[in-house]
Amino acid sequence: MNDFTANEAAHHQDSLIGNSETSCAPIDSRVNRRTFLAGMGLGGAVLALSPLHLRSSVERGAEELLLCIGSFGTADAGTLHLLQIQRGKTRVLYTQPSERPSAIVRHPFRSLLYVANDVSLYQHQPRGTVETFGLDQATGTLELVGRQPLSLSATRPRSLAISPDGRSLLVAAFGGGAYNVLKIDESGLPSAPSVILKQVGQGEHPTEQASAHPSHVLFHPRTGIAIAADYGAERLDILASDCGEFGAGNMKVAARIPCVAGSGPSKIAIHQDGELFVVAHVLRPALTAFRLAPEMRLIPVGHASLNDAPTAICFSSERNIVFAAQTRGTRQAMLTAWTIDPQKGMLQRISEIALPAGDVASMHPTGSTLWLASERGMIAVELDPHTGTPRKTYRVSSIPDIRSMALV
Amino acid sequence: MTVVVNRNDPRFDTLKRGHNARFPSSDADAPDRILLCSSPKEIAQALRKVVAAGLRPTVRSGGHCYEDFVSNNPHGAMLDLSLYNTVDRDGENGPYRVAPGAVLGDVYLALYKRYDLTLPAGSCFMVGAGGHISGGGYGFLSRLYGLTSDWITAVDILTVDGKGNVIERRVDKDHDPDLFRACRGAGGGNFGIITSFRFDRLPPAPREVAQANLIFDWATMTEDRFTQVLTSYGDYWEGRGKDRDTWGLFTLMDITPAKRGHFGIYIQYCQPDGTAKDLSVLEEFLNRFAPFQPMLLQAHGSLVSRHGPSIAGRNIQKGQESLNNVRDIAVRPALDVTIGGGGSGAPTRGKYKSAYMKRSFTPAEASTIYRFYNSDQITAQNSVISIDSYGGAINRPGLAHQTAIAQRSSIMKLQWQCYWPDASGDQVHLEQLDKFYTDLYTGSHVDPHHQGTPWGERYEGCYMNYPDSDMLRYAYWPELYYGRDGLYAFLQQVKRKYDPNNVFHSSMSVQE
Repeated sequence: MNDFTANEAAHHQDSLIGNSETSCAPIDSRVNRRTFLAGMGLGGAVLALSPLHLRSSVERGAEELLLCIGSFGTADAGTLHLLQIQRGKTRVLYTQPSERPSAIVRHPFRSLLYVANDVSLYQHQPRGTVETFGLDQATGTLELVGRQPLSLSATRPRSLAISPDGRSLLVAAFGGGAYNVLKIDESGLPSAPSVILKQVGQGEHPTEQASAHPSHVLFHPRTGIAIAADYGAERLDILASDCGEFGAGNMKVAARIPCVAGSGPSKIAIHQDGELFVVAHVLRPALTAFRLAPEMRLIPVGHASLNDAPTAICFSSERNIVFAAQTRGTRQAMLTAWTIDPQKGMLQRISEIALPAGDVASMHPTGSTLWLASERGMIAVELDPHTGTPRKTYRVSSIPDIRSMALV
Repeated sequence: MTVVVNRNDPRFDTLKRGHNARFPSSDADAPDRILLCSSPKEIAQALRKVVAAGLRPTVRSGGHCYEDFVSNNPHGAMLDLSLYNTVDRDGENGPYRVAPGAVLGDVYLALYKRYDLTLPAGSCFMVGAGGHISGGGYGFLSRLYGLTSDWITAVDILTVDGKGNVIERRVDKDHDPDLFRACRGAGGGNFGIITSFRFDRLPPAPREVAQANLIFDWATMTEDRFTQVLTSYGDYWEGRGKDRDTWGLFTLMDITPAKRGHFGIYIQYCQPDGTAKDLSVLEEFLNRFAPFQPMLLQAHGSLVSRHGPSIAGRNIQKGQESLNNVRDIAVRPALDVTIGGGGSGAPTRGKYKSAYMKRSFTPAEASTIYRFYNSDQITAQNSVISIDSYGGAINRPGLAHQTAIAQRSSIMKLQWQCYWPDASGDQVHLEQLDKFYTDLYTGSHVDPHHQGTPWGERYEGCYMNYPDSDMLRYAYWPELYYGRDGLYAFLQQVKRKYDPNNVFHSSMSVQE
């Protein structure tokens, strides 16, 4: 080895795992922490991002709601349905083929929907895909405008999250055990993955957790980080970017938080103020509340064991209530409501109600109604206006095998 | 110390390329960094860091992968093992060891000079041992001695366990025997990184070989006559070529475009005792072709490179003899033949396909080949089919279940090679070659459920060291490469056990 090579090698040795090329300027890691603290309101300027941005953009008045739901059975075929719910009546405005639509998110300020396709092969290559649909709100139609493959082996994506600035789409590939970040271009279309993070890990269950399975990702509403649950590797991952823009190509796993062995963390819900979030564990049914502390530490603050596996959770932040849809045997489900102490994070069960739903894949609260996407149709749960607890359920659509939902 | 070549390194643009200039497909598809490792320790350290960083590792030994499995690795890391290239013994009397970065020419030289031994490996000097041996590895001595992977008695390999730890293993028939079997032919980039191939014994290096070329004039070739040449060739391997006394005979028929004026057969022979004193087997083979009045071309040196465009247009200018001068066949030191091929030429864009044949050619196959190479298609002008003799010691009973090479009944192996200079030619060459191949395996001679692919009574699928991503369009593509006798299911079990997170993957790696 000549001197040049030796010097170069020495120079590069420490940076072996670092990013060699990023399109944002490298920034001292302390900036990352500062950004984080700012978002938490603990120093510097608070980022000007509204956690209610999405909701305010999709509500069309108290009596009208537009939902996009994705359904598929065991075959590859699937369908997106655009539903209008108005004065208690549901109308299917439009249907559109979509291959196994497992997750849907709406761009924060464009009329675009991104749909994860829970597939293992695309054009004969082992990879999943993300479809982009244009939403014409005037005519109530959807148009497929693009389909972007994920990285090789990033199969069966089941969760999408779009950054609050609308520039980055974060994908959790459940099957292939990987995170992909797709930069969203000027036209709103996702580009080829600019970040590919292959995950390794396994849990206690010999088959369910034989490898890493990132199952859910969410952007934190204020700090610029993202939080992910890995069902297979049995942990929570905190994902961060030095320059704050995930799509710029330097997202990393900033912290990992192990979960209880064999618990199977599957879904996450974040309180709108960003300090508390709740994780649903499927294999050893439970809810766990965490407080997000400075320096990306997650402090477990509340825990509740469950008899039945929680398949979907959501926050009603205004009331500090967590809802959990739980599977109870074959094709039976229930909805439980939990208060969460905003200071301590303790969880206390306050009510439950049977659901005519089967497995619930997704839930969204809007005002006094909770919308549930289930394998037995769309369910609306009327909430008590005073207590916020479930009062009454009614089926608003009998479309079967709903796996994903977004308010549009 | 591992040398790290990042994108801003002046060496990056050169080192990112493999021999197939199609890859990386674009600058963005190249890995972000290339890690040049010189020892097993460095390889293990590099792999640990790559896995911990969430990067996809691809592994390169000689850089001759036909598809994009190594050079296309966006945002990932390529581990280049070419600087780890020793060939030696473990102690004075221990197993022979070949490091993955050693190129075949150096392997032949070292084994011959140090131990008077050889490997029945490939004919291209610059092909790296790592990929070649992982996928089986065959060459001009394979009919005599079997496949290279048949001789492996242990493998040192780095795997990544479920928690992401890099595990150093020495696997053999008594230690992780399932992984050991998988390492004997399933192909590189599936289960881990092999850092050493170990052989308790190796075959003796032949003293000498006889060489010749038979040259056929396209101008004299009607479709009928061409069919007769092809079937004469195939019939030999289906019949007489199975006899043990012929196992030292290796031939390679190159079908080149008619506009080149000729096509030919390269022939190489040595007796089982490693000499070429009795050439009666060779003469018998040559005489089969006397009715077609080929020219006998003296061979000078080795089998030429099989990884470049020159193969499609070999220059036939001198040394031509009539077939009745077979006494003048050149006999040369076997070592010269082995290592004389030199490099593989400059990287060029290429596409490759393969087929194993259990039977001779049908008239329909011969007709399809004849029409293609007499057409004006640009792909016909830039391509060649190499039809290698196969079988012999490769087909000894029991090997299919000891190794990960399922094809143990074939008598010929075909390789399509097509070369062109720049990206503007990609589409037409890829489409035309694919159509030609598909047409060849469409018809009553192919199993009805496997139309378009070499599978059925007459065929035994494809060779994983000649990977062809076009085959991915067939849901049964693993059958083509691994057969229908449970090998692929076995490899999937090995994959789940030793690489549960699928750290090592490509579009054609063993799927979980």
